Amino acid sequence: MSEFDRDEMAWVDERLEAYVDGELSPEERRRVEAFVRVDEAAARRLQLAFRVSGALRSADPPACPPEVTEAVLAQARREAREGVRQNIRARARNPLEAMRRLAAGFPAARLVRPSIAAAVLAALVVAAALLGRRPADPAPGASAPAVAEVRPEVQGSPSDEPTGPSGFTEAGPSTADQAGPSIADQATADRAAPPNVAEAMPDESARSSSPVADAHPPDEVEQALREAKWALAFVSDVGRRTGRSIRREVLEERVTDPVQRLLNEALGAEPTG
Amino acid sequence: MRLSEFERLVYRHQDRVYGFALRLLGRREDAQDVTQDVLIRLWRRGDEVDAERVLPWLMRVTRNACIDRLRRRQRGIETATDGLELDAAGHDRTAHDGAGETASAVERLERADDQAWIERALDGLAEPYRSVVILREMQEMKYEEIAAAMDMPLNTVKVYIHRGRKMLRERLMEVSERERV
Repeated sequence: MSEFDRDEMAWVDERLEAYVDGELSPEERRRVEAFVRVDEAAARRLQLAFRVSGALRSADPPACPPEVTEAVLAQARREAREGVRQNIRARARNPLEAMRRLAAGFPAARLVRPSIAAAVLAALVVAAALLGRRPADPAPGASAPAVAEVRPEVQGSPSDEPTGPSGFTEAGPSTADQAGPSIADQATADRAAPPNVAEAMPDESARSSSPVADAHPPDEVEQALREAKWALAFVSDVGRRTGRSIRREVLEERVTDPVQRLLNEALGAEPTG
Repeated sequence: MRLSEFERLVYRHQDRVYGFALRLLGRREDAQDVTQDVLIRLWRRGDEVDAERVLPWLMRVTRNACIDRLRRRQRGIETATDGLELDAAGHDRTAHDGAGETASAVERLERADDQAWIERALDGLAEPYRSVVILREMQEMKYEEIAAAMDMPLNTVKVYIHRGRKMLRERLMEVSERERV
């Protein structure tokens, strides 16, 4: 056999099983057939490949003995009955635990936890919305000590040193103890009656007597008032709900100073040192 | 898994499980034990098996169980108390010697005993070629199912099947050449 033939035989030999299965490309199939036609050994190998395949595929599949099937099913039924008994016993011993396990395996229970979580989340969202809502501007006669504390500062002349910390100090630590409308109450009032901006505005007479107010458009003043009132009302409500007071230095940094700066910007007042 | 569903799966796959175990182990009693163990395992762990992949799962578990049995057998833990090894056709495997094989290897392929020779030849085939050949040629499983059962890439399955059959062919060729001489 020539070297070419040996190489070709090796190539064909590797593909005889695939040829038997019909998995060769048309070109490969032609190449195998061409070589088998001229090479007796290759033809013999192809014949054996067909026989092996035929023998394998025509082998009678053995049937599982019936006694094996019966033994398997009997054991499964026994374990199924035992499993039911165990569940009953478990429920009797620890009904809560049994119900939890039962719920864990029950498809509908998988919806319960997300539903509960969703309900909790919705409650939190509603609470946050209520807490975060801007309080309605109180009626002129409404008692809002924290807000009332601010009003005099706004009304004062720009040259007046704002009471700033001292004023807030009184209001801050004591806001928790002072009765006043909470944010939630104000939110409820909002829903009942839209906030009346005019009622929340500083007294017209006081306003008209202030040179600063005369120099600045009322919208800016109103905006500053709103921001200050909102911040203080929030602080008051938090203090009342938690029963704790906000430390002065925290109040100054987070509430007083920013509000002061806002007011100063709105009124064009000289920043305090 | 519900009992009714399990019963349905048993009747559907029991012959395949048993046939695969029998061809790997060569002993009916061992094959019956493995079949029972595998099917009970399906009952206990059926909820973990994807409904569309039950057959590959069964074949994989069966093969693993058979390999464990064969290892124990090789270590001598299992004594051949009955001593009788039957092939799938019921022929005594031990009742053959080299001469008998040499004298009639090719003739068996031409008669109904072709299966007996193939069963014996499969015994000598190394893993994983033996398993893939059995699953494809005798269990008539799809390439994808075999790949899942054997945890092999699809192309590897095809290559191993052809290689396994080639090994059987070469063995038959050797016997045939000896006969000619």
